[in-house]
Amino acid sequence: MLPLTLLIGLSFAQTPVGPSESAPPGAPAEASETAPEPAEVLAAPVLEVIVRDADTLAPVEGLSVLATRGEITRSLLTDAEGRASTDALEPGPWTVEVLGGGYGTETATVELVAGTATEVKFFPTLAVAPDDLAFEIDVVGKRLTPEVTERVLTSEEIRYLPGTNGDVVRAVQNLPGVARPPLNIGQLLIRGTAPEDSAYYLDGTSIPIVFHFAGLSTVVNGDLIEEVGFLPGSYGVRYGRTLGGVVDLRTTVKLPEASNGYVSVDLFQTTAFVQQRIGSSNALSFSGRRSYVDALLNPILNGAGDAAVRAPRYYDGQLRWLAETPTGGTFDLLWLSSDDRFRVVGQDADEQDEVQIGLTTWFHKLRLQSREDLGAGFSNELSIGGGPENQSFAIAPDGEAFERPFRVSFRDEVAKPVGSGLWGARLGVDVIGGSWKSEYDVPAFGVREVADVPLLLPAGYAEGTLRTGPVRWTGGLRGDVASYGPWTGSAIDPRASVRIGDAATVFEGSYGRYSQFPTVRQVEERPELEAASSWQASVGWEQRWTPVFDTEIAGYANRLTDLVVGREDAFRFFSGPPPTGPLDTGPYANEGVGRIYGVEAIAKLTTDRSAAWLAATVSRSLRTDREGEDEALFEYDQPVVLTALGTTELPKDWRIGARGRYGTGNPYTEVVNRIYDLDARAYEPVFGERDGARLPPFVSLDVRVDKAWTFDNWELSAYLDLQNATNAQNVEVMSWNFDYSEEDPVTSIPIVPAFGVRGAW
Amino acid sequence: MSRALPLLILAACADGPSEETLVRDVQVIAAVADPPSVAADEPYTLTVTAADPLDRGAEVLVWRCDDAGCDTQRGAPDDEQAVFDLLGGGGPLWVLACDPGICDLDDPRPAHLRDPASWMAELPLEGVSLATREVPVTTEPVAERPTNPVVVRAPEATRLGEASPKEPAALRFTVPGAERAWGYSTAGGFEMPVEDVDSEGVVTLPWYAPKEDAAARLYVVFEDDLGGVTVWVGESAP
Repeated sequence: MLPLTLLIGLSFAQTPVGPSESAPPGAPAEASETAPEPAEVLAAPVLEVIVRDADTLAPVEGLSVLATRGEITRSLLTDAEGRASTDALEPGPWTVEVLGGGYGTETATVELVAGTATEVKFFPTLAVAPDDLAFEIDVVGKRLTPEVTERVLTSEEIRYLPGTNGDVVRAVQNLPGVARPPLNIGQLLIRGTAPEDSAYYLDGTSIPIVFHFAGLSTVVNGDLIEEVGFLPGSYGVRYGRTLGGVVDLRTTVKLPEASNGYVSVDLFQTTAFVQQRIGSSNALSFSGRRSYVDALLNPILNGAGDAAVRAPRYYDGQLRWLAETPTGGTFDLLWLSSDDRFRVVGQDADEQDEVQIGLTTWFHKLRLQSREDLGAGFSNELSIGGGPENQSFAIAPDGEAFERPFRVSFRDEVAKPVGSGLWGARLGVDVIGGSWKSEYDVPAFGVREVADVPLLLPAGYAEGTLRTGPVRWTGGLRGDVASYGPWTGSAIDPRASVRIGDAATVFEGSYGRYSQFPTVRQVEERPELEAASSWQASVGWEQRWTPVFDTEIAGYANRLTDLVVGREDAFRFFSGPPPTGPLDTGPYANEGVGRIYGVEAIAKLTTDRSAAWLAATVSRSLRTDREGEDEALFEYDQPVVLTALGTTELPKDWRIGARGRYGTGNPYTEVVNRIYDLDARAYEPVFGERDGARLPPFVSLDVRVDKAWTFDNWELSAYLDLQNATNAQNVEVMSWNFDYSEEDPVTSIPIVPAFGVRGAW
Repeated sequence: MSRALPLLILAACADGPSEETLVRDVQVIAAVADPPSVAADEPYTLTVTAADPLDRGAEVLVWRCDDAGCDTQRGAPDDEQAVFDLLGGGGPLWVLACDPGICDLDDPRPAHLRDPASWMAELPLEGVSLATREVPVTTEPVAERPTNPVVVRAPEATRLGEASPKEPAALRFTVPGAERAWGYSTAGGFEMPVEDVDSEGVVTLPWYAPKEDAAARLYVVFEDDLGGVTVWVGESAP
């Protein structure tokens, strides 16, 4: 439904192989990879072939399509739209051949995966002799899903993306609809919403955080992830409880062809990854990472003062058992842990060591997932996951705060993808249960708050899709209930979308309601609070101009109501810079409303050796916190965000890339005077017009160079990712000196020569 | 917050005078109530110390508002100190020091008195200092109330002459009952904005002389935990 919903695929083994002998130059076949859209994830393997003339891009009718796997052959004919589709097929490699009609024969090999749908596009040329060019397909086409347009980038593209250290989720920050976070930390500011309004999932199961400390890295190794689903808004009923966007990390459901692994060392962390195939239907994989930013920073910081600084350090680990079931489904068990710590250690009055400032975030999760084909086009996906989470803060002498939920998630979904059929459906339950314990006892932030309540958040959803010619109609309904001890809230969210068009041109539109419950802390103080909601509308146009160049543009408008406002002076676990004010210190209330509207566009050029895109977002995000107040800019309102990047292979295994970014500065409220509090001996600011000023625009350039050396049994690669290559001193956050007489802005991190080496076998 | 912490730590450990202790413009340094805590409607004396490093002749307005209205008193400081006779009561007490001609101290608007931030939003940063404090309200008999701390020993004036821009002079005070000492200086500066007073009432504040050959006026404010305040003022010759 949303043209700019993007999907990032991440598997070495899944790169489809194009026609190795017969493809005419400039007319490659394209295979759209498996499974990103939830409904499709649950589907049995389906193959859909689209054939278009390489010169005119017109659909080619009446061509023969042969899909072959061993002794099995399926024969099809393309229809008036140039399409040919199969029913459920056996998983594994299939050879697809297109022939007849005066066109040269085209062949491609694709890997069909249980529970997925794969689209293959051919662009044959009339009477053109085949040549001997062999190439790899890097970008695969858009998937035929009933509601979400998705784009697939290969893992190679992600790994070589300048400025992101090859991190899978940081790559999302380059996409339209995502504003640039202050200090480039691990926040996703999606379509004019706050970071806490967006949610992160692992295979549909929510996870507490997606980034390690300061956004250096995603908490799950990207090599375990097949794709990252990025849904900035107007998504289907599978996702709920959030007003903003969704990031869904989806683990691979393919067994490795052979045992493999790597060890990588870079400026920030060391990573080890191993996956071992066991027999024909089982595999074990392990990943471990440990940062050593502390080892680099501690000597510097500790040399500057008396306190002993334990700079940010993190580690994470994942252990996974993946099995193929006799029925063609998969079963996997995944353990994942993540731990981040930062401490400043000093001495108390008795000269004993004490933690002056400490910040800790960790979680441990066990996730079980089963995907099975139920027959007749239906499939079932079951996920159960749970474990403890902790976020804690301490400040000497006696300040302490923590949030320690124990959440168990249960999701079961039965789906039939519409594919090339007439109808599709999805039916699921999504339940979170457990407990929530929290305490906020930091004297500078007011009175102590304690909560210890059981959690239960059940939800059910249903969705149907109907195809009438080139039009797909989708309607769905999601019902959510939330119970925190004695407090209960509910929400009913209807959503609908329409998709019109063929493979080259697609128009889309959607409208729906999205709800987000208040937090435990908020309802503990104000039990009368209700869920906030957002009505979201969007329209989009996707156009594939040539086999290597396509564009997408989307417009959207969101209306937010019943936003929970107040208590901005209370202690919070900020994922970014704390607000600078003026602060709404009134009690919590469902009084906030907001308007968000904008246009997002991306143009992307992808060849076998290069990839480049230009992403642009023009938007406006407005809020009115309290009744009677004037409407003001949202604190992260960035009217213009532009990202241009490109990466290309050079001879002798060299690769070079660059990324340029421009973003309007965030609004802020100027300090026009100050008041001296004689009791606290500190100045208090007097603010001017709310959000009456803006930070200067952000401009940055990143450059990356890679080199690989291939040996008999292994490959060594090295890179230099020069982040902020021009050493631009962009203003990230406004700050003031001690008496507010002068602005003292916090500027961006200077040039960072991130480098690393990787040995893979 | 995460990235700012190391930067704050680095900034806090710089050598030399603290910027926070330097008084460049008119600034309310202290408002000492005597007695330090008062009963409702009980008369008391408020002594305002308003530094005037540019010697422009700043004037002071003191006021407090309650449901019935706002009581204002205006005064011209003598040697940077102005004394006001007030009546006790809860709520914030406001002290505004202004260079002549900047603030309308003759006929302040009631809305400005009730919302001093709105007044400050209309005034310039230079030549204006607004401060606030709450004088503790008590029901105890006068004889049983704590009194303001008293400076029983202060450094000799010659001690200040020992300071240089790079090597501070250690200014040692004895103020029984005080808990903290805040240093302010019109030139040069104290090493730290605040120092803890030990259990015997002794505290040492390192003070740096100005780089230029200039006189400096020093203010050290001593506080206890019960609202008691006292101010020591010293001078350093060029």
